[in-house]
Parts: sequence; C-alpha cells; structure tokens
Amino acid sequence: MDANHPSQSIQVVFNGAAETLKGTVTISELLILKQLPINAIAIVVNDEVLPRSRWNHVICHQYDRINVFSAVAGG
Amino acid sequence: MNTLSAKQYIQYSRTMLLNDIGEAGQLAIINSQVAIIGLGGLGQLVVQYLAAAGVKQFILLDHDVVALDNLPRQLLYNEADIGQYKVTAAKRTLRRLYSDIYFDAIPEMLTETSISELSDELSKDVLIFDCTDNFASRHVINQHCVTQGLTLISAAISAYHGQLFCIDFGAKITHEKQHGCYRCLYPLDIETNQTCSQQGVLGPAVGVMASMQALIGLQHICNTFTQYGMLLRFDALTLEWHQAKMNRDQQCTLCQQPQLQEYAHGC
Ligand SMILES: [Zn+2]
Repeated sequence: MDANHPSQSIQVVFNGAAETLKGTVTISELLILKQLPINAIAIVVNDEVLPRSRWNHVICHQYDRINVFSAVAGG
Repeated sequence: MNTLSAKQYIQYSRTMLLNDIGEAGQLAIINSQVAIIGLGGLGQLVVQYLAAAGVKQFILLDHDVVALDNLPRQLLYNEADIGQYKVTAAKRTLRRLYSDIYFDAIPEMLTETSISELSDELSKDVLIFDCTDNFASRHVINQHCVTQGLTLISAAISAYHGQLFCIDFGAKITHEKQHGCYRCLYPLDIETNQTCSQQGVLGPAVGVMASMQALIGLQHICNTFTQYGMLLRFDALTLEWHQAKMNRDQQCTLCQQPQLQEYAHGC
C-alpha cells in the first residue's frame, strides 16, 4: 500500500531534521510545502538520486531520508 | 611506453608501492591522455596533480585569462600571469617543471560547435575532467561524453557546497548501473546564480574537490576505481561528505544508449 490514510501522519527526515507529514504527500508536494525552487535543486531519497520526472509520482514513506540540495556549477 | 626508466622507478616509487597499482598502474598513468576543461580553481590543481603523477599528454581548454582575484585559490598562477590565457600560463609553468609533457593548450570558449570541432582530440581513451564554472558548459561536456562513450569526472563548488561524480559512458550498462548522465541529475533548464564569482568560496574548499577529481582520475586510469555513478557532496562548513547513487531519468533524451534500449526491450 502506497498511500497513507488522510488522517495518518508519517515521520520523515528532511535535510537531517525529523519532520511529520500528514496524509499522502508526493515529493513534488513536499517541495511546494517547503517553497523550494524546482529548477535549482536535486533530491536524494534514501541515498539515491530521485530524477525530476519522478517527483510527481513518488510518495513520501515512513522514515524516508529526504535530502534536497542546490545545483552548483562553480569551479 | 612499455617500461619505466631507472629515474622513473625512483620518482614514482611511492605510487607503485600501492599493491593494486604497481608498475602496471604507473605505466597506465604515463600512457594516459586527459582533457581538462576549465583551468580555474579546479582545473589548475587537477593538472598539477596529474602532471606530478606522471601523465604526459594533456588537452587544456579554457578561454579565460588570469585575474588578480583568481590568485587566492588558483595557485598555479602568479601576478606576472595576469591578463594571459590560463591555458597558456599553465602550459608555460608546467613545461618548466616537466619538460617531457605534451600540452595542447586551447584558449577557446567551450560551445557545442567548438567541442564537435575537437571531437578527434576528445575521443576514446581521453579521460575528461569537467572543471568548468557554468551549467551550459557542463551540459555540452556531458553530451559529448555520453555520445562518444567517454569517461567523465565532474566537480563543482559554490560557497561551501561541493559536488563530484565520475561516470564511465563507455562501460556496458546493466540494470544496477543505470546512473544516467549529468542531464538526468540536472535537466537542461537547471538554474542557479551560484557560481564562484557570485557566491564566494574558500581556496582550500575548491582544492578538496579538485584533489578528489585527480584522485578519481588516477584510480580510473589504474583500474582501481569502483564508485562510478556515485554523487559525492561535500559540505565545506561542517566537513561532512554525503554519498548518493545516481539514477537515470527515464525521460532523459540524451543518455538513451543502445545498451539501455536493449535493456528496456528485454524487460
Ligand atoms: Zn541522461
């Protein structure tokens, strides 16, 4: 079962800090919640890069470790 | 070159003492060809480490000139080099130290056109180091490496945030190895204003990323590298490293190699 009951909450670790999410939240929804610019970041879920085309489809699960970081290009 | 000279045995003895490198590894280093694209903070250190390690054939590409505010982190250059092309200054200084090294110093801007004109030189068996400072160049280099099946060692840093990875686009791709490419990590519309010039950076933090690039390069050449497709992130403030497995974006239109399509049909 992928979706959580709307009233259920789950615990995730977002950028190293514990976070409670209510109901079923996709990665895209989490980014909106956090007001993060989708064109300037990459996302790692449980130590794997999650490509952008998957963000709408992947749901946050209990105890997921989610890291969002800025793209950097300097050298 | 098939054998080392007596002087080289002494010169590279500490490298060869590593059991998995030995004389064969040192000969591989000496016979390797590398291209360093971008001779700023990253590239200027990568070239020094590789030249010192025994690499004899370099392609250096950068259209930028040395500026005073480069000097705190670009230790290959000095005040007398200001205003000169970085590739020219790098070649001149390194030729003084290593007379037997061949440098092809190209003071040109990297574009899709310029890289395709260089495709004879930037071809198989040339290890590519992406040391540039902008997304446009990084995408051009990635595209070239994917289509030509080259190995790419890419590093970047802005402020306290460094990122690094190595992908061998010539390797046979298996289900576990679908690392994708730079475009899978950062699609073409990626944007940020975080370049060194706008964000600021500490010299040694750039040096950490460049040293890692050189380390990975030598390991790749010596066949001791195993972490292909692993994104390494360095926080230069907390000194923490983070690793993440890179994954192909199924919607990436660039890295659809034949092997991948075969794999997709096979399922
Ligand atoms: Zn790709």
